[in-house]
Amino acid sequence: MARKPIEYVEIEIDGQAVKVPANQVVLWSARELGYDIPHFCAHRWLVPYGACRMCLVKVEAGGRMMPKLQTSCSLMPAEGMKIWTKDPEVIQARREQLEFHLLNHPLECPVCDKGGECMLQDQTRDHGMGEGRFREQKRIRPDASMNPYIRLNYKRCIHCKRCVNYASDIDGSYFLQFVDRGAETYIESFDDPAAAPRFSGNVIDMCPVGALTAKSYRFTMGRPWEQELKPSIGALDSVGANIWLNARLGDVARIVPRDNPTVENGMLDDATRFGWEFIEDPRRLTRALVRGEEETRVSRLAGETEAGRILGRIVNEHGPGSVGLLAGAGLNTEEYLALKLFAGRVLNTSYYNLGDCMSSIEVPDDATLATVGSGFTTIEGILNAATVLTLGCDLFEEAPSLGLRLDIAARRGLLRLLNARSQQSGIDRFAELSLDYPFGGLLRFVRGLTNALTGQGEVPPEVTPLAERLRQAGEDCAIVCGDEVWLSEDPPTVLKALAALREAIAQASPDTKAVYLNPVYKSVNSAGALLVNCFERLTDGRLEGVTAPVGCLGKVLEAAAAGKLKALVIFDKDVLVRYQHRDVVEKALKNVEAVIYCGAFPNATSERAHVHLPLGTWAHREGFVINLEWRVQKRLVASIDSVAPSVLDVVNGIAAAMGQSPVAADLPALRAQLARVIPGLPTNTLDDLPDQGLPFSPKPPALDRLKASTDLPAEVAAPDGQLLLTPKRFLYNDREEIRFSRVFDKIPKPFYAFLNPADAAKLGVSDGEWIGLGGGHELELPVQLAAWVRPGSVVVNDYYLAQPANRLAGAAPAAVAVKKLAGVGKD
Amino acid sequence: MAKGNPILQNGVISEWITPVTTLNNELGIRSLADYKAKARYIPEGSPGGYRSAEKVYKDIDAETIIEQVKAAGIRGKGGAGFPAGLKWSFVPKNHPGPKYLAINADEGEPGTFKDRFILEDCPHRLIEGAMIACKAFGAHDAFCYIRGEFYDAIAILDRAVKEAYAAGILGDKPFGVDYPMHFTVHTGAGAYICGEETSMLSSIMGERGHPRMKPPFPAVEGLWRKPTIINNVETIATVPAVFDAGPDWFTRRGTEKSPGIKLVSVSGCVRNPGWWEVEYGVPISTIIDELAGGLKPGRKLKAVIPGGSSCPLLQPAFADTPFDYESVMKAGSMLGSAAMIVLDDTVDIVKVMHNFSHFYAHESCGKCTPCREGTRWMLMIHERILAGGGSPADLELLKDIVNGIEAKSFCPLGDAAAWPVKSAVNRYAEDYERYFKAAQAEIESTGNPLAEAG
Ligand SMILES: Cc1cc2nc3c(=O)[nH]c(=O)nc-3n(C[C@H](O)[C@H](O)[C@H](O)COP(=O)(O)O)c2cc1C
Ligand code: SF4
Ligand code: SF4
Ligand code: FES
Repeated sequence: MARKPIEYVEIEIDGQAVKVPANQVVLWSARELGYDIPHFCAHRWLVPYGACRMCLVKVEAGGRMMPKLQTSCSLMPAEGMKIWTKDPEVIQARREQLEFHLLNHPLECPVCDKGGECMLQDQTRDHGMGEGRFREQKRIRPDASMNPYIRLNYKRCIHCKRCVNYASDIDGSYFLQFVDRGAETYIESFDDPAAAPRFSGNVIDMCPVGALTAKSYRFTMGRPWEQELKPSIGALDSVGANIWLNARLGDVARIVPRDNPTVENGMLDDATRFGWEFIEDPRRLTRALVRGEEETRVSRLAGETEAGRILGRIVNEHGPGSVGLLAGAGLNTEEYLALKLFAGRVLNTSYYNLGDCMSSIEVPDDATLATVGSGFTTIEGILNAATVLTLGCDLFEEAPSLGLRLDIAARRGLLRLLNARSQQSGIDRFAELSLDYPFGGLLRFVRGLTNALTGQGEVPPEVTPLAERLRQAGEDCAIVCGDEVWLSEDPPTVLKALAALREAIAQASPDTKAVYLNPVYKSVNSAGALLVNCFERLTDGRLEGVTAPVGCLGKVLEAAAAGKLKALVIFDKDVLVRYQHRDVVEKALKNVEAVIYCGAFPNATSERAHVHLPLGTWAHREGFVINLEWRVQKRLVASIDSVAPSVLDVVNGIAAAMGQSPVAADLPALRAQLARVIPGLPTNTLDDLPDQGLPFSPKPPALDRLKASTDLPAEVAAPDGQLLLTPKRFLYNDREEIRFSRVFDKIPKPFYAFLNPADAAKLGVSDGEWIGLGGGHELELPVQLAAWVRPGSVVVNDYYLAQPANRLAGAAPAAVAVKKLAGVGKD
Repeated sequence: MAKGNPILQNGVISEWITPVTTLNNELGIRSLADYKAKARYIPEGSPGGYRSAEKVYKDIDAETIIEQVKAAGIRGKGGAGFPAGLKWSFVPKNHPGPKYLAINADEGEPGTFKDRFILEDCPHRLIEGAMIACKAFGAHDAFCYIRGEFYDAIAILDRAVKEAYAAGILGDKPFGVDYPMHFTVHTGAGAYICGEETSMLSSIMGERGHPRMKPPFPAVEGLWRKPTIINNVETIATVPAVFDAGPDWFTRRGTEKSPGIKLVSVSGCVRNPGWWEVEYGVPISTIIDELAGGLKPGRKLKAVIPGGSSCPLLQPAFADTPFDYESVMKAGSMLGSAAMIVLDDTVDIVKVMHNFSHFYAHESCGKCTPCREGTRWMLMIHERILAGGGSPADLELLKDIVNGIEAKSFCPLGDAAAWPVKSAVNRYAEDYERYFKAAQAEIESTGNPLAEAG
């Protein structure tokens, strides 16, 4: 990695010689070594602030005793320095400072939600004097709402300013600020009702006392010590934030970060943190739905029997290859194996596709698998790279914790951030260079950039400044790409172009020792799905009864649309809304005899199913998922009363109804099979899988040098009077976690047609007015003016059930007609 | 001690005191024309302002400027008395810039009123000093941070700056020399903490006026993370004389370690409060008696606060202490900004401390715990004592609170709040005890259970 190896210096703490990192303040080093130095304002995310004065220590530096006690949170160690943490003077100072902290604190621990996990409580026990001498009037001020998620109990605030510093220096939203002065200082939020909070919940963890609490937890969800904690993985993105699922008395109570410094570093986005109500939402399917003449609700078993009956008949009548199977990318890895076995042994078909990233026709070829399966680095590796180039992604929306960590690193000058995508994004603010190109122009941009670096082929002028910087990429360089790859017509082609770019940078930048390519995948287990889907190409091992897929998502859907397939079995994937070519899905659903859907909640696709079988949410299903750095991470089942089936339960149920034996006895058996063909994956129970996960290296096919094309696709442009439709992923959309968690009802969601003000002016529309997109007004949306939209484009949320973008999108790029809708909007 | 010309100031004539030197010796030289025609650098010098700056810009290189200021031994006049030339030499030599000078005209310390008169009566002297200082360490921009309440001073300095620009003294080529020099007047909004140098920088940058962590020191990373020198108004206004009268004019005056001259502001129980410029080393009693007209008839001296409200109280026994940094320190207080507050025997020290505590509780910025909480606590205790609810335990409590603040707060404001109280409870305990006795008597006569609880 680019960062220099850590240097150590020798210092003395309480008479003990110790080696500590030279670049880390004494507070953290001493604490890591087990010396108990209390602190409030210091936080590992923040720069030293020195306000609470709890961390005072006695210091001798350069052979001289320093005249004052020093704050260890701001003290850099120097060779030969001596520190005292238990000197009577230090202990006395701690007591004094703690007494000051407690003067105005209400000491209402018995009714405070922080009680039990409160730094003030702990430190008072360990360092306090056990008696109060304050006889005056305490300071009071009423509680206040900071935003839809967070409430401030002013009286408990000890003014450490962690929250305010976080809002200014870490997430950069400035949503909290101090008002007034001295002891009367209080915290006020600048809560913009139109802006959805993104990273606000982290201040709840940071607040050392119970001043900032989650509205959804406080007073109702019990005390910290009553919670049963299960490690799990946030479902939002392919970073796979490590979380604790907290449950009390059989109900989910909250989600808190599990603080994996190598993965999300405790930085949870608000959608992950507050999105847990869906787990037990009454709208979740607990029984099966069968649609014949009319819709009936039957037991799960009856539903599986019905599904088995239908599928059994079809397989009998039409023989092998008559059923198609699709699965979304939110399932656990061993569940994909269950599905693969189910397809091969029970349904006798090779028309299946697991996961979501390669929504192309053909199964990814060797070169594509080699591109994603090697040459990547870890999340830490990305953050430690000298140069990071983000391409075709908006990380704040697609992988928020990674985006935020890159943003912080760029702001602190720890890396050079370069950036190109189809419209401006949040991460631009500290990027050294940000370029944009029309949506759908990623391939052209990447090839153009590669040509500029290799000196071969055509070079569009706009790539030059970026190429110049990449010629001095520093010691190492990480390319991070995202959604625009997956939204392109043929993701493998774009991936291979990116692999060529990777090589070109390595060639063109003489000092650069390594160039990495890290795709940010669409879902929490896209990598796991890809691994199982294509494992024939990734391993020599064979599983009996399993056949390789004949093609990808597009292939399966087209076969169904062409009448080749007689039934579709779909696990947890709203294809009707999520696949770009809506017409193909429509046709496929119409032309098959039966659609069997399995998923936790109803959606557009499930409504077309003949049988909708219930499935547990991810909190109900144990398993492991694989993130964008190919880290294997475990999800255990929350300690909740509600039980819900796993994928294995369902496929075994259907198999039984078809008179077939189960695909596997249980999850450990599945894991054992998988680990046999793909060494390095966990076997047996997940107990052996460490909480912080396990790095895993796929073994993609070895490749000679990539033969990269230098051809530039035509420049993308919308004809006059039309705009380029740009579907974009947003943190807040119609995912189940959001749609079925009531907490988000209050959050303003980006269900708009975002227009550049210049285009809006041409169309004569302003904020809140409605426009129709497409010749037949296939999409009707209210307008929001946004300077970040590239002129000539209209950006829409790519996951909005009421107005799904794929009514229009088709293959990117799509130009659409736009018209102001008279008489609608501006209510 | 050198005798200067007799000087008329606030109606008092004294032969003891060196005349106003660094300023003009006539009040109110505000216009550029007047300054150029009449202002003298030293009383015995010839008139003509901006001579020093012109000389410096045309003929003197940066190193020599710093050497001369060091040789004159000019110490910072804002409170800490840090040698100005030495401070300037801390600016990294090969830094590509920009670098800044920030002049501290916040004048917030209770008892201090001296910078205001420089700003109002001789604004061009400040501009001239700023130009010289900037050249010394390679800055081209000076900011003057004036407290918001100084309406007149702000307007006057503003006008002077405009005049200087119009005359080509400020701007791209001062005196035709290719050394651009810009001067910005920046107003504060009435916060004592913004006189603390790092808070002042935050405030100039539009941030909340909170002190910043040192290191990095402002001379390395200050305004917009660029090298920045912070000096008091008086410090800067003293500089031009060095290049007219020469350094030894200063070293001939004052004491060895505190050479030169200093403005003092005298207030409190004197017949004639006012401000004067004195040599360092004049006895405190001389300043009180000869300049400020002495105490009112029949009164006895009870305490002197030599350097503004942040300094410990000195008992009458120390009245003859020479007024220089070292001697005042040895006597158990500080020279600070030389704002002498004189208290006579009619004064109740508890009430004074209540007043001071109120000031510091109100002005604490709230960043660090001991100052934020401690100042409020001290205020409330004084309120309770004055209301008749005190007890001897409060003296111990006050001592403990002071201990918890002193040398443990983030910036010196905390110390400033603690020191006067510390000296009061140690040196004037009898004033407190009077209240405790009265409270005890009250309990005994009424059996008031509430008073007992206090
Ligand atoms: C709380 C506090 C208030 C201060 N107020 C002022 C002030 O009003 N004016 C001033 O010149 N210095 C003030 N100072 C001192 C400055 O921090 C700084 O030391 C000074 O401006 C440096 O200039 P000098 O070296 O020329 O004295 C204050 C210091 C503290 C801690
Ligand atoms: S609300 Fe919490 S985090 Fe914020 S300043 Fe107060 S105690 Fe610190
Ligand atoms: S001592 Fe602390 S609270 Fe007081 S002014 Fe300085 S930083 Fe602010
Ligand atoms: S932790 Fe060091 S001052 Fe707060």
